[in-house]
Amino acid sequence: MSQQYDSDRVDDGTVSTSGFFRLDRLSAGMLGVAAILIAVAYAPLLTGVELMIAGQPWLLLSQPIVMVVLGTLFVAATYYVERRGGETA
Amino acid sequence: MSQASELAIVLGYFLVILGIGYYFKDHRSGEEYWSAGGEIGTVMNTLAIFAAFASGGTFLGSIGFAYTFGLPFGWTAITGSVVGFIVAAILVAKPMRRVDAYTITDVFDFLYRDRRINLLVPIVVILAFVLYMVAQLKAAGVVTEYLLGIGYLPSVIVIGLIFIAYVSLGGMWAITVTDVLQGVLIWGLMLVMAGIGFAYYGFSITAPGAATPSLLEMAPVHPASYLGFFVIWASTVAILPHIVMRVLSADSPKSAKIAYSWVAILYAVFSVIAFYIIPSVALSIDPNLADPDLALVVVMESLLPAVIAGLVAAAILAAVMSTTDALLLAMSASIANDIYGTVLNPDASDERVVRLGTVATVGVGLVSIAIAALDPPSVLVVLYTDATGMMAAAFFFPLVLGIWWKRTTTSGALAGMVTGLLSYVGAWLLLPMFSAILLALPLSLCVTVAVSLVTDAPSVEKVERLRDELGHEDAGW
Repeated sequence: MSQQYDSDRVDDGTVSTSGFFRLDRLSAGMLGVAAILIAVAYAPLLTGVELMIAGQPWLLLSQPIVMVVLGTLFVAATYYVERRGGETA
Repeated sequence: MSQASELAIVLGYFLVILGIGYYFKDHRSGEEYWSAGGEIGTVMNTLAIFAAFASGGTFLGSIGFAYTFGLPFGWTAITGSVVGFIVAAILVAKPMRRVDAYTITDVFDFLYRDRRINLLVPIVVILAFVLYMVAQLKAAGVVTEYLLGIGYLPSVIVIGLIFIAYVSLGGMWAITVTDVLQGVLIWGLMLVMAGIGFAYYGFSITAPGAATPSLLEMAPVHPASYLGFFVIWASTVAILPHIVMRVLSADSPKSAKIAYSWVAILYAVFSVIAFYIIPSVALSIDPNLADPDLALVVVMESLLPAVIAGLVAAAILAAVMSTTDALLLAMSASIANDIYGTVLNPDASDERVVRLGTVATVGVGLVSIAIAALDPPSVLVVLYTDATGMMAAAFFFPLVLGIWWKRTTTSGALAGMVTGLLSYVGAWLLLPMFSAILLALPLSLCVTVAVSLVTDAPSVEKVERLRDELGHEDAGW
């Protein structure tokens, strides 16, 4: 039974025409981590004040970290799933 | 500098590219021409996607952009692209690869089965990609003009004709194989340039920043421009037709997703290193370049021996051509497969559609060469970012919601597309650089949702078809 879709079935065997198809937990987690890191990197911009850390702009320091962390997590998650035979957490 | 040695190396590279196109000239079925039969493996696709995405605009434009506006602004697009690959892989690539499709219009046709959408999508693609191609051709022109001294116009014409020839001959197989070669060349270029750049600063990681502090400063632009630059690239990867076609050429949904993950990390590492070192060296050599897009070329010419510079020139041209060939194939697919084969003459034979595609490749290529020759844009990144932003505003939410939200209707998707497109164009005229997307994308989302909710829900049969064919019932990641 699919872990993604079984909750969308109704009793007569058909499907609901409302709501979303469900994402697996690992994909949802990955998107969640991305959203948090994006918020951390860019939220200071919304305040209109230029945030400086150790004399350098926050965006200069945060963006490379966000890029590399997200890229690494993405590859790691892909191979983690691969090693587990396609199953998700 | 020896122009003869550079010319010889570049000509040799062109011959190899043309030979690859000729080799695949017999792969003429629709499936092979547009999507290489869905047989491209993970490693090959990773390099091909990377090469198609890391365009001439990335090389020349982004380095020139960082040279002009500084790293915090320049890296915003790269961060957006890395996020974009994750969003695209999770929300779009894997389900899309399950659909029997060659182009993004085919995917929309699968989702909505609507003639108006099938016509609107390729028209928007063609409009946006002409701008995108002109930016790439300008990159090719300025590099060749600078390196070989044969003039901007002849450079654009020669390079344009070469990619028209190999794309029209070999289709997706030719551009994939050439893009793999080009991907290797691009990585080689990055390593060479980064190594030379670090050597220039005595292998110090902090010295480039200390020597050129302006590179590390925030650009004097509106904060909305930063956010818009990020959002454009975060949303655009999922809908870029020449990248979508790569997904559809992958040999499995899993392979498509793995390729995306590798491209994300390769692109991140590549950009963090290259866009720090190379603009810094360029600023150190000449802080007042009249054309910032030449920053990479200036570094190359100043620090490399002629033979290596020739190889680097070939790599820059490879970056330009690997994107331009994919754009060209995507546009000819829009005309032949989408407008003609899907809308105007659905009964047309496969052979006829591919034949028209070949003609379209030549026609669109010549039009793009003519525009690039007449009116070269002044800032590469601005031009192609705006072009891709327009597509993202129109396509992102109708595509993502169509795949994941069962309640999305055809009317909702069409209204969301038109709203995203028109609001982007209108806002582009009024708002600060890159920020039109911040208005257009939410508007497209709201209109897609609102119109879907007030129109009849999709049938159970349609939802079941989406569930089964997009693989929503298959387990996970």
